[in-house]
Amino acid sequence: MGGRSNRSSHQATEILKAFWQHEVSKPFIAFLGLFIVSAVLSPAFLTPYNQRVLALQTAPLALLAFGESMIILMGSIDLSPGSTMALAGTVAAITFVHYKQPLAIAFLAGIAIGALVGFINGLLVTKAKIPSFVATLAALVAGRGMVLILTGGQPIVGLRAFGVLTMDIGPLPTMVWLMFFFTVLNFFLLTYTRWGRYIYAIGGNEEAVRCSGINADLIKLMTFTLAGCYYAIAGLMMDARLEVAYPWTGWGAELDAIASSVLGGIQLTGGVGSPIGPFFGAYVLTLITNVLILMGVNPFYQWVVKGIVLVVAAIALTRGLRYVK
Amino acid sequence: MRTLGIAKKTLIGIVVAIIIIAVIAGVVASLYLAPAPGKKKLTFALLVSNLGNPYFVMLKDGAEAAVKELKAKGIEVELIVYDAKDDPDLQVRQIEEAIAKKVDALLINPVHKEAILPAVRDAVKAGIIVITTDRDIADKSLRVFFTGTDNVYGAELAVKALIEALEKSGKPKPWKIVILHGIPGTTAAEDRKKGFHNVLDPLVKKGDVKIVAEEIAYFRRDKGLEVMESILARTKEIDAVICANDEMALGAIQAIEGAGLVPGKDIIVVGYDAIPDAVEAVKAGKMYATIAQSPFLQGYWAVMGAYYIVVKGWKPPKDFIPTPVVVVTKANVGTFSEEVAKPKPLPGAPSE
Amino acid sequence: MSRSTPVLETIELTKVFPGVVALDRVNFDLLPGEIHGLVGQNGAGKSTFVKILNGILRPDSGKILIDGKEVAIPNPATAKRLGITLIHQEITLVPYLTVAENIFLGREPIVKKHIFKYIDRRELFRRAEEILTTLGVDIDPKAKVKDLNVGEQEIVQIARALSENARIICLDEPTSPLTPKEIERLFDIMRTLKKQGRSMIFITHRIEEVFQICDRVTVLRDGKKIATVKVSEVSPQDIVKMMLGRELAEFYVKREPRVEEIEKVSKVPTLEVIDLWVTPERVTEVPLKGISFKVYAGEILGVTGLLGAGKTELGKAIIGLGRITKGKVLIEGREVKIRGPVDALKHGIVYIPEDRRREGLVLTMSVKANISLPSLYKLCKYLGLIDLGREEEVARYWIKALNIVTPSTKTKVANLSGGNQQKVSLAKMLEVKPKIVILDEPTFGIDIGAKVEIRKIIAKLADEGLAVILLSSDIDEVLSLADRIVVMRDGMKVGEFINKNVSREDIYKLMVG
Repeated sequence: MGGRSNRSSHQATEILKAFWQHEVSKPFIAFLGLFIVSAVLSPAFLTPYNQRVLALQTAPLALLAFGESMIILMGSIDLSPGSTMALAGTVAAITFVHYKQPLAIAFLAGIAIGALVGFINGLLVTKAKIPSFVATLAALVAGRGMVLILTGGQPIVGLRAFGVLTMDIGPLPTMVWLMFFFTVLNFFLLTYTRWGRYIYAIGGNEEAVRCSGINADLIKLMTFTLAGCYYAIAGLMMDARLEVAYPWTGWGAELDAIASSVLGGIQLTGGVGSPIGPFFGAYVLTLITNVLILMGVNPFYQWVVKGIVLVVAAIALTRGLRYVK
Repeated sequence: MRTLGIAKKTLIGIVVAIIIIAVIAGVVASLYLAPAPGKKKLTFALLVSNLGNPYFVMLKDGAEAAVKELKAKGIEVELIVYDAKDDPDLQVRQIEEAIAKKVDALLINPVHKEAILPAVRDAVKAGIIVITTDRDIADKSLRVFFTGTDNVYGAELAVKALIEALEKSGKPKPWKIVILHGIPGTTAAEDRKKGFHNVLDPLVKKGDVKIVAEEIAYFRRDKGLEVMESILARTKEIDAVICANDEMALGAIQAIEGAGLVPGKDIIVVGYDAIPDAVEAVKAGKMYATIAQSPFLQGYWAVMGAYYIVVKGWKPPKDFIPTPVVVVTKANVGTFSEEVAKPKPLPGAPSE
Repeated sequence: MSRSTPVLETIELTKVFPGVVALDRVNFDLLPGEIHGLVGQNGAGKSTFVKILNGILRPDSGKILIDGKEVAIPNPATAKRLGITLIHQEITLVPYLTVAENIFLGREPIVKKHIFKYIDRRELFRRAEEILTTLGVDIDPKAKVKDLNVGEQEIVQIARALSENARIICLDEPTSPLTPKEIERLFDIMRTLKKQGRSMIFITHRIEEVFQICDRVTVLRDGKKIATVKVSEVSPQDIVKMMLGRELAEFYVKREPRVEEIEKVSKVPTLEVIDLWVTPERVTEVPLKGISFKVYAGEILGVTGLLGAGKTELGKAIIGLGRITKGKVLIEGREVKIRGPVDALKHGIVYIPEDRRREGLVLTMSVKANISLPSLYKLCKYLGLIDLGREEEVARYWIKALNIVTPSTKTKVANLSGGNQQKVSLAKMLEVKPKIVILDEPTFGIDIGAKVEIRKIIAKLADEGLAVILLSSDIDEVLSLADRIVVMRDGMKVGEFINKNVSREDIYKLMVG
């Protein structure tokens, strides 16, 4: 073997090594692996229609996962994504249908209510010093209750105009573009801004952040609020998808959001994980459900398969840790 | 410390005294103030799971219609309506209250089939007639009869409507059908699943029908959408979708439209429950049919049954009296609501 | 001591970590009933050595002999079976279990009744009591471990080792968290164990302890054994020279106190604390009772006292972490209200915590990110975007200025040695350009080389005109660096000196009370 090819192969292994050590590599490989396996297992998988469906189904979950992952990176947990998205969707629908406001105002109202829920969560955690698990559990329950009060348990119809989110811009629907936009935004926010850096630092060692003269409470409050906005956008997406504000939207979605974060390599102890990871996590979670239906697997077995995939992914992601709780 | 202890004791004393006085006053008041029950006057208690739901409001309306009818015949019936707001504890307390009022019959629409059993047992011990409506309780020996929808039968009707539509459409056999089920383990989901298969299985054997997919969508619209999307990704050669409730059917319709197909034409969809959205979809031709239940008759028959039992010593021939279900299609979409909200004679009732 | 067979012997023991030879062909022997000191700077290989003996690490080559027979120790369980045990640097007890339960964790006495098996609690406590008595200590076996102090917790660990019938006990820096009284008690116990014929390997940073308790001492440097000597035949200076390859005098950085001259120049103290009273927020904290002092720019105020004297509480109270019930804090003559570190930073006060892993550093983040953390606001241009180029520059500046040994700016701080972590902890707070620096035990638990460097840095800070408060239980450190010395005991100020003609003994007497 000549010296030159030797060097280039050495360089290649260096690049590979660097990639492997990057936090996003494992979720990405998991995603790639499952994608390839799916393509082999089901001929319908790679069809443009199915890929489109996958992207549409992933978009709201990805938004939830981005919000959730920020909270988890801070070392907290958020159980409110599902209820918040439903509440935001409901409020937007009411603003649009009952108060006959323009679409933009309706969207803003939805996002504002999401921000408000997040803000309250943040206040409960930072000022009332309630553990995030409990505070957001309260939001989960109360949020759903508000949705049922506002809707009377019946869907709010007449949201055809929300279709701006599902209509195509170029090859893809608006909401898929939005998902990509937020993936990039989330990456920038968490990697290149002060805010993002503080989020990681709080998750890594909150005491140190406080001792460093940083207003950790403010950062937490801001982050919970932003997460609420993300959930609200997911709620608007679901409104658009169903063309109604469905009161049971996002029932149980908090677990999907947490699972997406974990599959995306976000450590539940906080402070570690790639901002892009949750995107792949959400994609993988959607993909598994999709491909199992494509293959016509018995619904009861689908649960078992999903459980196994989660465990395998978790094993791969937590390898090298001394112990977990 | 010491003074505190004394204060505490005094406080407890006062509280206990207040409670005792209140109880005594209550008993005395109820003895003197409560109207002495007239010999002919009947008192029924209707315990509704949740009056926030329009469905159960219709049940209450049916019961009140029956009371009115009886009054017209000169029979004094008082109906006490309780709303449990879907809270089993509240319903238990309401049953206890009704027992204390010495009602003649309890017409119960249970919040939970197990949780209220002890209270119901007390009622039976107190000699009160118990009838269940819309939902049954776990211990069937406690109630005289149960009146409600036969979900197996309703599901059979739904599939029959679907087959009829397929025949009319002239689509070539075998028809390719997708089934969406509800939450596994719930009575409604299991009964409807049974009903679907009762009709479909012989057809599958005959080769008229092919079931291309059978999935669970948890009675939810968003799940119905997502599951149907994936099914459509597998194959677009689908003739019909039958769903165990309307929410899933509406989600499926959304998916069908998203795939560039026309619901009602390319794919025929049938739901169940006749919720307002679904009725709209039937009007618009997107959904071929849905199944309407009759909560009105569930309330109506419960009161009538109680009357016959208490006054005439009637023994119902069967302990399950199914209320009729109506297949809602474009043909009767305007009129079905009156159809299910019309008093009908109780099957097997004694002659007047 | 007779020339009996060593209970433990290693021949050419070698362990290689990626990039470092942690142990380089170490020959070592331990005699029955011997206390064998093991000293060396951090990274010299002491911990690696005992970890290999205890099966936590596996050697790359070399032999281990027990009673003259070669053995393999693949895991801690095997080590325990061979009678070897390790008392860790960090306490490894379960806080919410009792002393007895901790001593017998995993080996509880079991009663069998029919098919049921359960723990015989009476027997458990009886045996625990027995072991604690042989150690001559008075610890209630029914007490919860969380309620014990650090010294007692260590004794429980030793009791656990005894209950396992350990013949060879490795003590990895057991004295560093202890007060002098507790250390005395530990030494008593070690002497008792020695009488019972057990052998001990004693790792410590404090050379004087070697001379108090050890029979022989082995010095390691950079993974190599420098020498094994009888303690009676050498002086502390000899040992230090072997450890460092240089003289003891270089240990402490001598600085000339210059209080009078400073007071003349700047009439107003940079920081003045008047009659400060603080109520503790946690039970482990010490209440402060009426502390007053002044610090001028360019001056080092040394605050010394034993563990639990309230030094940390004082430092934290100044930056607003503590419930101040009475008293005033003045900065440059003006009274200020400091409600937390955020306010403190605004007034130019920074606090560098004692427990850097818990309060100082974000271990999951890089050296660079840690250094820039408190001063990120200076590195942002618009929209809160971090200027990554400048961040790198800042990190490189401090790595060079403080001589931080790290492979790169991107290395996680968790992977640095204690001394370098401390330097990062310093760098991050110095980057905000404070006026007042409070250092809490800055040289605690780091190796001697790094200690010297940190002390030099502290001296330099004062020379550059900062007001420095040095909270330290190392009297020599305070004596060599401070201009003014405050002595604390039980949350009170018990003495204040200008660092001239003060003797070590005077201070010590005040500290102990």
